[in-house]
Amino acid sequence: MHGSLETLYFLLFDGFIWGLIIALIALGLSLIFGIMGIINMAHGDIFMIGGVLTVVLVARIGNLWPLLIIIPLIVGISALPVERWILRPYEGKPLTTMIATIGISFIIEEITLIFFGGAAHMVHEPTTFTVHLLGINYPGYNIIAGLVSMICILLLWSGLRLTKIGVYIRATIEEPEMADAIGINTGQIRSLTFAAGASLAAFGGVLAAPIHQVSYLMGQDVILFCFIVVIVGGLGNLMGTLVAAVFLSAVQEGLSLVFTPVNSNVIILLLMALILVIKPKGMFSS
Amino acid sequence: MLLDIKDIHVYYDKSYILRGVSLKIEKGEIGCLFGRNGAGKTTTLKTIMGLVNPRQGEIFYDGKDITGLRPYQRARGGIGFIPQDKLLFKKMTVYENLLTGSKGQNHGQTWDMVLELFPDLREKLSRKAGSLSGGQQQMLAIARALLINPDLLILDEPSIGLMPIMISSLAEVITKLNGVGITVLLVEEKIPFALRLAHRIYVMDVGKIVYQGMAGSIDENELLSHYLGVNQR
Amino acid sequence: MNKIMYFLRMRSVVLIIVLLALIAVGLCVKSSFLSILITMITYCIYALAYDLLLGYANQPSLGQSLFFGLGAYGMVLPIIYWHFGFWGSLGVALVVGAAGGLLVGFVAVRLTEAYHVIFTAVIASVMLLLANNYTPITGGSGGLSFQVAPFFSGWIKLTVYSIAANYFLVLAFGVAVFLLLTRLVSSPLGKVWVAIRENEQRVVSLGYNVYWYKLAAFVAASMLTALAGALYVISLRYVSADCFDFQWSVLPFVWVLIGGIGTLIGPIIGVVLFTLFQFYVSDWWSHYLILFGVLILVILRWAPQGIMGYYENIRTNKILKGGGEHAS
Ligand SMILES: Nc1ncnc2c1ncn2[C@@H]1O[C@H](COP(=O)(O)OP(=O)(O)OP(=O)(O)O)[C@@H](O)[C@H]1O
Ligand SMILES: [Mg+2]
Repeated sequence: MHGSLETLYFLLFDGFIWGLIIALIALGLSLIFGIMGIINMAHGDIFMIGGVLTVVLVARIGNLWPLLIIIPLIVGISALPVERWILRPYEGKPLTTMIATIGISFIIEEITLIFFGGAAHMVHEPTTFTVHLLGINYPGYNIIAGLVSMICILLLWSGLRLTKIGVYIRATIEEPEMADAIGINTGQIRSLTFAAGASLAAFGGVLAAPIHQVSYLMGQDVILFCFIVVIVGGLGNLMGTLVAAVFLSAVQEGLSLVFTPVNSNVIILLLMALILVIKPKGMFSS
Repeated sequence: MLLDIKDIHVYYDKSYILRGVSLKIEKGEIGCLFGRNGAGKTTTLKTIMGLVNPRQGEIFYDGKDITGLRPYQRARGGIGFIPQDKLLFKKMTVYENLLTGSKGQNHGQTWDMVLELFPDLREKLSRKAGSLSGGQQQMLAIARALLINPDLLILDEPSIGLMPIMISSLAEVITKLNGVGITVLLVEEKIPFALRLAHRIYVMDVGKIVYQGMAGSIDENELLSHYLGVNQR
Repeated sequence: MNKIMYFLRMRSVVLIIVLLALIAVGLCVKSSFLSILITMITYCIYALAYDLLLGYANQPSLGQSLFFGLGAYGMVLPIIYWHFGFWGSLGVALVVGAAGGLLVGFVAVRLTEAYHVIFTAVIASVMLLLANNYTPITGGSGGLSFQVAPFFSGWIKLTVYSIAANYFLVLAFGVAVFLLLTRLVSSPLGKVWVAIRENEQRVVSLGYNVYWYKLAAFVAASMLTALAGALYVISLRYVSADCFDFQWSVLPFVWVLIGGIGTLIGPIIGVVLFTLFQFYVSDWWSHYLILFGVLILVILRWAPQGIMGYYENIRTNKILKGGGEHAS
């Protein structure tokens, strides 16, 4: 087939860019699990809220870029009371947190359905230029989105490495009890992390709005893929999550050259099962 | 009275572990707590730190009731804790471990004083804590606890797994810290080492204090044969 | 001890009364109420299967919709494509359910709680995608309808098109499953499951191969879940990919949670209460999922042990006081 190699390159590149956005969401998921032992089933819905708010607000202010800051901020702040007053007692109990966040997820989705309706929306790309890449005209916005994700991930990474709060967060991940006993207010760290994780997902939602259809159910596919990512990368393992997000997303896109999307999902799933058989705690566990 | 534990009762789920422990340490003292394996020494220390909550009883620190406080509040209130296991954040560097202990400043007076006390650590600041030797890890844990400017330092079997030479430098460090006014509560297995340091002695067994007295009121043999020996009970 | 025996006997008396009442209802009452009861009994089988898994063998699966859907399609497809009779296709459904349980359990059982929950949920979700995608076989969310030929059970010829016959069929399965599980949880196998739940390390150190015991529970639960799925679609005479919907994985947890984990009565109470709630509220408000979500949060916060948990607490307190024993 003529040009199929170009198509493959194109798909792999597309998968790489999408993988970076997925990584933002999955990193939030992984971080929240690492710190609090919460498996956040509502994480995809937070991503969805990011997308929906983008649709609503872009219509008002006509510009996407400021929303990249405004929406994550709104979402992060609204996440604080949810963690403090609803989830706190279940932290560290995976199944219970999962059920509780499923309850939250039902509430978020239905309320969005009531106010936003069931139809899918699309946000216009804020940029119109294309980039000639590997013989294909690639939309410029996607490249910007990829770059912005990368910057965001770098900021997160350096925040965790280089700031004092970052050190506290990592200490709390590693030995929560000990961290508390040497004077770290782990309750505060938890709240902060939950808000940060939610902001990351909402940020991903804003970024994805021009690429991905926005509807009240858009979180469901994404959360499924993100769970596969964090399982393969290792729950709470941020580096593993990042690598798995980009890798699996590229693999999935590549597979779509030959298989239908659903079939490539199944193949990814089998890959995940295989990895779990060999390494029950993720690809990068020792 | 810096630390005053009044009749605490602690359960892990349904098992009754501390059955009314009372214990006092005066300001400036070194108190030693002995006991067989499983007697409840670690549990007592964890209760002081707030990692375990007593079902009954109170803990007073410097005259204030701290029974309801969270662990980090107790730590910031001046109690430094060096636990028995999970001593350090092993995946983090020595520097980062120290940073977790210091509340605000990573320079200041305390920081310099601590690095002076443990010159070994200064060269290893960027090493992973997990890669240090047992003795160095113990020293790092002490250093980290010192960074919150504690008035009371609690050590849970710090000599475990250390070579004799390290044990004597550990004793030196403890004496030095006590010299600058830090009160110490030490749980130990190595009796001669601890007896040399102790001003006040407690022995516990099966969740109760079975002996208390000042230094010199009991010698090693008595301690062993009466309270800690395997031939007893 | 006398008091305990007394309560046990009380319990069997209550159960027999309930059973007689259910039979009487089947003989006298007309269709609309019977169809709710049919649904409830089917759900009870599902809930009991889940309780066996979570409450006894301590495995928090969140992918039970997979086995429910497998049972449903395992029942229907042989009827449609190969004109199997009732018993034949029920056999297929059970085998398919058990085989699915074996495959998934093979991986899931050794995982820690967090990985176990996510893994099972992911598998079930992908299965939903598949079922929605392969519409020629599954009918997708539009579904398939089918005819069930009359069949013999014992000497009686039954047809599920009579609601009473349908009811007694499902009731018979419900009672059989309940009795089976009552026996199972007090058998040596059940005791090992409970021991694993209480302290897995201890069971390992006693030399048991915990993996096989857990896998056995997983497969047994999958098979019973498939049975529930099969009965569900038989009573509806209709099947769709929605049988794999994620809600079917959440429901069993909610039932068991409402009633009380680790008892056999609890799930039944949970099913009855929740089905009534679902039936009336979803009738009244189309966004009832909001209330469902709120309900989940409320139960988790204020009644995490379920109704049986409260009952047990009160009861043990009474027994202890009555017997003059001391809590130690
Ligand atoms: N988390 C726990 N859950 C249940 N029981 C525990 C727990 N931690 C300790 N125990 C039990 O409590 C008792 C006291 O333990 P503790 O660790 O306080 O003893 P110890 O005196 O410090 O012993 P060692 O010399 O071995 O350190 C022991 O019987 C132990 O088995
Ligand atoms: Mg100890």
